Amino acid sequence: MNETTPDSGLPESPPPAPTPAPTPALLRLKRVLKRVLITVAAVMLGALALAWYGGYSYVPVAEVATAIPDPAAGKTSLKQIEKGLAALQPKGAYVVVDSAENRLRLMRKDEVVLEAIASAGTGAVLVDEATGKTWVFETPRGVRTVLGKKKNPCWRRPDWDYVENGEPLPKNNSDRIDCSALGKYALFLGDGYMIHGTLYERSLGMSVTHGCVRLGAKDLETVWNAAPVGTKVYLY
Amino acid sequence: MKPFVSRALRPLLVLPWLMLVSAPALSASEAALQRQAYLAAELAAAKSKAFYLVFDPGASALDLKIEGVRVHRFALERADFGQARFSGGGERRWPAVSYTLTTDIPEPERPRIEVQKQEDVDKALDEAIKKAIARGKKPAGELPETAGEKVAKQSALADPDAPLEFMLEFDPGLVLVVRGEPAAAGFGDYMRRLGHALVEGWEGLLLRFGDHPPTARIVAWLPPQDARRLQKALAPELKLLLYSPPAP
Repeated sequence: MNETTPDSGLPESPPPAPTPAPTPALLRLKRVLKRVLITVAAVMLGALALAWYGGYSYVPVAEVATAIPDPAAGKTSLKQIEKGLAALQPKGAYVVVDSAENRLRLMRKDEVVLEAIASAGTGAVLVDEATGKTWVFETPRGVRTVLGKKKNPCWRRPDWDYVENGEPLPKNNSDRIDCSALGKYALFLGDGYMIHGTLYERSLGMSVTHGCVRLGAKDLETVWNAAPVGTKVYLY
Repeated sequence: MKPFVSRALRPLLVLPWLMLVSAPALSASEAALQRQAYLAAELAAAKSKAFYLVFDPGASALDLKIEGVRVHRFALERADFGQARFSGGGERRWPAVSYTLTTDIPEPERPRIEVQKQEDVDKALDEAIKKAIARGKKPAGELPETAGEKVAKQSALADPDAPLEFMLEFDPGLVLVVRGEPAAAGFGDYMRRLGHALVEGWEGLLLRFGDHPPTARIVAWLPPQDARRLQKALAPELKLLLYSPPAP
C-alpha cells in the first residue's frame, strides 16, 4: 500500500539523493581547465589579430592603377619602338616547340597551321663510368633557326649512344653511320640538335630523346614542306 | 539688378570648365606615356633573346614571350593585388612597368640513365624481332624499350612532386605568388585560403620586425599543370613586364 501526503493525496516522492560535494582535487582540475581554455582562446584570437595586422588586403588586379611612367621612356619615339618590335617578328612560318608537353606547333602569324605530338629531351643525365664523361639530354630552350635540311638523312652516332647501349666505341668513323634512325627528313638547328623522324613513333608525346625533337612521319613532312632554311624555331 | 558674380571674379568661372576639359587630356597623355614605356621595355626584353613574361591585368593572363613572339599564354583563374596593411594604405599602384626576377632558380633534379648491358640489349632486340616475325609485323614496330623510354616513365612519376605553389621575388618591390590550385570555390578552398592568409600575415609581421620594406604582391591562381609549366619556364633574371593596352 502506497503512502500519501495528507494535503494532496498523491504518493510521496522519495527525497532527492544528496549530491556528493566536489572534492578539492576536482575543483582544482576544473579551475585549471578553465584557465587553459581561456588562455588558448586568447592566444588564438591574438594570433588571428596579428595575422590580420601583418597581412595583406587584396583587390582584383584590374582595379590597380598603372605604374607611374618612367620619364626616360619618352626618349625613343613610339614609331621607332614599334618599328623595332615589328622587325623582330618572324616574316613567314615559324615553329614553336613546347618541350614540357611534347608538342610542336607550326605557326604563321598568330594562326596555328599544325599542332603535332612530338618528343623532346628526357632531361636525364648519362655518366660514362670509364671516363667520367657526363651528358645532359635536354632540348635547348630559346630561339634557333633552321640552318639546313636533308632528305633521307643519315646519323653519325655520337659517343653517348654507344655508352648508353653499353657498346664499345667503333674504330672507324664509317661504322658510326646509321641511315635508319632519323626518318625521312631532318631539319638542322645547330649544335647537333635536329627536328627529325623516328622509328619509335609509339613514344611520341613522351620526353624520351637526347635533345632533338622527334615527329611522326606525316607531321614531319608537313613541317619539312612549310619551313625553309632560315625559319625561326622557338623552344621552351 | 545686381550681377550674380562681380565683374572681377567672372574669369574664375571659367576655371572649373578648364579643369574638366584638361583632366581627360592629361590622363590620355599619361596612358600614351605608359604604353610607350611598356613597348620600350618589351623591345629591350625582345632584343635580349631571352624569355620574358608579360602580365596583362585586363585579360588576367601571363604571356611567355621571346623576341616579341608569344609562345604560351597562362590564363589565370584569378589574380589579386595585395598591399601590406601596415604600409598605411594609400593608392594601389603597380611599382613599375618592368621587373627582374631575383629569386634563385634551383637546378631541376635529373634522373640518371642506367647504362644498358650489351648482351641485354641484344637479347631484348632478338626477342622483339622474333615476336614481330611470328606476328607477321615489321620488326621496327616491335623495338624493345629504349633507355630514354625507361627514364621518361620515371620522370612522369616524379612530376606530381613538382611544387604547385611557389613565390617569385622581382625587383623593384614585387612578389608573385603562384598557386596551382583552383581559386576559392568550396568550403575546403576557403579554409585553404584562410590558412594562406594566416601564414602570410605572420610572415608579414616577421618582415616588419626584420625592417624589410613592404612590397606589393600578386597572388595568381592557375591550373596545376600550368603552374608546373610556368615553373619550368623560369630562368634567372627573367623579366616581367606590365602590359599596357594601346590608347582607345
